[in-house]
Amino acid sequence: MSPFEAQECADLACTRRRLLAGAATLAGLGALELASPRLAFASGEQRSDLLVVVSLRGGADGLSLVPPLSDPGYLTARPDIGVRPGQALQLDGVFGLHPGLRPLLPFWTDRRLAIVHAVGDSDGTRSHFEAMDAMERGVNAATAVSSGWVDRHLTARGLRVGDFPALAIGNRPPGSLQGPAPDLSVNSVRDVRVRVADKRRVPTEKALAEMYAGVAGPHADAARSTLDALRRFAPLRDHPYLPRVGVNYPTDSFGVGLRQIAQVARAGVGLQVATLDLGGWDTHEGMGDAAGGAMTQLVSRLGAGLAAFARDLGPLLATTTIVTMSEFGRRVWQNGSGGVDHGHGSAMLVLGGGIRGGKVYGRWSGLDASHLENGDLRVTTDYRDVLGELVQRRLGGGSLTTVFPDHRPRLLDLATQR
Amino acid sequence: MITPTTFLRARVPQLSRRSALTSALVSLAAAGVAVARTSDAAAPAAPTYRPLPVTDDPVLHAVRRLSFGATPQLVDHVRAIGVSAWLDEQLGSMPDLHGTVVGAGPALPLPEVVAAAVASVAHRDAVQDLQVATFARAAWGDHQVYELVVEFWSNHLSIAAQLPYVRDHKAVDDRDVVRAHALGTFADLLTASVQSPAMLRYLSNAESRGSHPNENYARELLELHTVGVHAGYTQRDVRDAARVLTGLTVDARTGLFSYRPEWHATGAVRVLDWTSPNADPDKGLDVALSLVRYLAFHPATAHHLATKLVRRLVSDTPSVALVASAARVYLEGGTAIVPVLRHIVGSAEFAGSAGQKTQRPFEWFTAAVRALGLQPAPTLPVAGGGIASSLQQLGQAPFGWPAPDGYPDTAAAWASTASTLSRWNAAQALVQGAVRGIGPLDGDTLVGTPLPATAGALVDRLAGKLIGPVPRRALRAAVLQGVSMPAGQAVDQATIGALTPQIAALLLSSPEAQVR
Repeated sequence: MSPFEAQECADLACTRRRLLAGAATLAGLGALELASPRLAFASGEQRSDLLVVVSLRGGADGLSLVPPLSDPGYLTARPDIGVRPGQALQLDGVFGLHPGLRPLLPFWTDRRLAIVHAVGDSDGTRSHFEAMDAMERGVNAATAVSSGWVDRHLTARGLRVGDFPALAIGNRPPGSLQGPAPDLSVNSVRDVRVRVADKRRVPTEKALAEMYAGVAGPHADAARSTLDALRRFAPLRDHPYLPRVGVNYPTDSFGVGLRQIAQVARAGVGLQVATLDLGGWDTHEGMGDAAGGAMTQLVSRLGAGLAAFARDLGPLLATTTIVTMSEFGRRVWQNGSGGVDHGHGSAMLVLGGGIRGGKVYGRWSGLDASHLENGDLRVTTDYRDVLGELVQRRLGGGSLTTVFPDHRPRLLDLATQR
Repeated sequence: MITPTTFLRARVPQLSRRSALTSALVSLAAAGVAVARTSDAAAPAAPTYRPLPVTDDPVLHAVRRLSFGATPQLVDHVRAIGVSAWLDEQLGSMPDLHGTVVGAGPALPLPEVVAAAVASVAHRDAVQDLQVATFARAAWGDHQVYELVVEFWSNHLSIAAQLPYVRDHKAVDDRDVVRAHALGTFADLLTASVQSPAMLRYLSNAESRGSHPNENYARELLELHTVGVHAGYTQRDVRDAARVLTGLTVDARTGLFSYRPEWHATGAVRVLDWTSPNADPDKGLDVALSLVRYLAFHPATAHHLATKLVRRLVSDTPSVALVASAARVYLEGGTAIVPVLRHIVGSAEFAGSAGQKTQRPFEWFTAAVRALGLQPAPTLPVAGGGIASSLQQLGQAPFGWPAPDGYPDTAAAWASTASTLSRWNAAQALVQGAVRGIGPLDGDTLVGTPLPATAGALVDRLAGKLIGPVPRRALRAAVLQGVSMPAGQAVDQATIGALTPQIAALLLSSPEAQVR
């Protein structure tokens, strides 16, 4: 069967066969030669989920995404921007879901969506750039490790014949993919082509390959990856992608990006990791409230996009883990401009077939002033506790000390062992 | 043939991040961590990679590094008068900022033909207009070093111009803040910036007031604009700086800067070693400007700016010694910018740094346009397609970086498949005359006379015009293969006409064409 059929294949053996079939087909196109035997199958027969990392850039306000409705301090601190009990979707006795996340409610109900609250970098800073950088690398800010946590995971687990490189939607891969494991960044699957006349394509790509052969440097490495991407995407880009019947992706960049990921995932080419950003969370002013306004629009984009993606994956969701993260949360008290400044604890969404969903994880110490840290929601769960468990239980992960060298993850038991 | 070993091969991790690779490895090893393979030694069939040969021509190096692209004319000019005299020429006089003002748009100190093209645009969009004007100045303007310094400060004091509450203000910031002070003192530049409506809106200070000040601008003023994130300030310093800045806002009716004493948070404040009783709301602006001057003159600011300038002008990994001496020059000159530029460009490290910088997309695009000799189209488009959207696709539209830290300036930060592919396709678009706003390629002029007799000679001729004196053997062979021609194949005028765009696009896609 064609590896690019948009037919789902939830069964693991099937996935594996299709992965190999995909490799064979690519080899048939003259694209793939056998990798060095030492590296091939280095990790044996470990299996892992497709990991989709969604980065909410700017410092997402966890107290809006998952408001603590029953906490008396909440609306006191946020009289103008707080989500009111009547607006929120009640999750449990304490928390609600922002109405913009309503499309995700079915996944909560059938226990595939979990939430971790008061989560963040326990070594945190309020600088966007330092916090983001540390979190991408998965280490404390002062630790001199330049590779990203996803890259260390992929490298430690070993690369196999037919593995698709990590896929980053956008112009540049995020810091989490920095390092030796291969990655590709694309804006649109359809546009992965050199725009020359058809009859010039082969000689042009050949010429590009030859002029970069043997040349050192980041740009030359990227050129080689680009040539590889051109071949890998050739069979995908010429077929229009049809999402599952009834799935309508939002047309914003986030929805379009998720659609690209679904297209590659459903083609069965062995995609392991995909990353995607949703920016705009640096809400210092004019957030509006849950009845409308800037924050509600942004949260709605997140909810609509993720729900469309999860539904489009269909049975593949059983072997997919989607996680959202952000560099920090925001201050508990609103500021004078109807916004919230940089804070600490935020919330993560974890969605997938192997997630013990329908539950808010983490330790909630409340918004009472005595429990706040400098006016911030205290980080009671390190983000690496969540990612570490996913690496271990869903991603066939080996050594957590390699992936997170200066944090020993304390598992929350939010995922089943794959 | 690229094999999968390419993918399995280790990529050099991003060195620029905060420390050398070695220390990363040492630290991992010390932590008992299995270090990921970082060399090819263990992989049997892994190819070895060598850096490109670099030019030993100091003029070519200086022109590439200090302009938006070397052209034969500019190289000849600098060779005739010397690098130092050229620098005097470039830094000696500031272009007339208000020489050519087009409508309500930005000032355009440009050759007449370009200004006319911009003026002809019917539907103006404030941001794309400014992006096109910025590109036009870099690609076709004579003030190359000035434009480079302007770009540096625009990026240092980065403002995401397309935000709805910023877009009408950025052109004024460009003219009255960045361009007015680019070659002046940093203290003046920063003083203008804190009173710039675009900046105050962008970093939420325009709305910051009284009891709950907005910390956004205060934090970035310290972290990004001045002393840097490791200067030792605390959350208290950020909070006090935010209090100091309250009241600096934008008049909603005029769109101009205004100070509102009733919004200013009074009371004693301390930021690092600077203090003020800050008792009188009417004097709040003076207090803010006093803090700004203190920060501009702070040694940590000197170090921060020197590091970024050395990274821009010399190397992705700035040397401790050059940064330290440049910081000294900055402080001794009372934050004057030109002496620092002269110091860095005059250093032995600058002279020895050929090949150490890679063009970012904007510089690559302008350099390609300049090398090809492309001229502005009679009408510069603004919306939908054209120059602004090409820069957008390349990933570096001016004022388009979403965060306040500005576009990165290291090769590793830009090395991606999307970025590479967009350059290759932009090269194709330029030679095909497919970028609206940029005129068609005049192949005859580019090739010149006498006509080359063979395909190999044609490649050599175009390489000389587009990327430097003599093409690498492998590059020459690759390009010839790309156009399916043996080197010795005789070519007539018609064949030259057909091959020139194809060869030019391949040369501009080469690793040689990415060198800054």
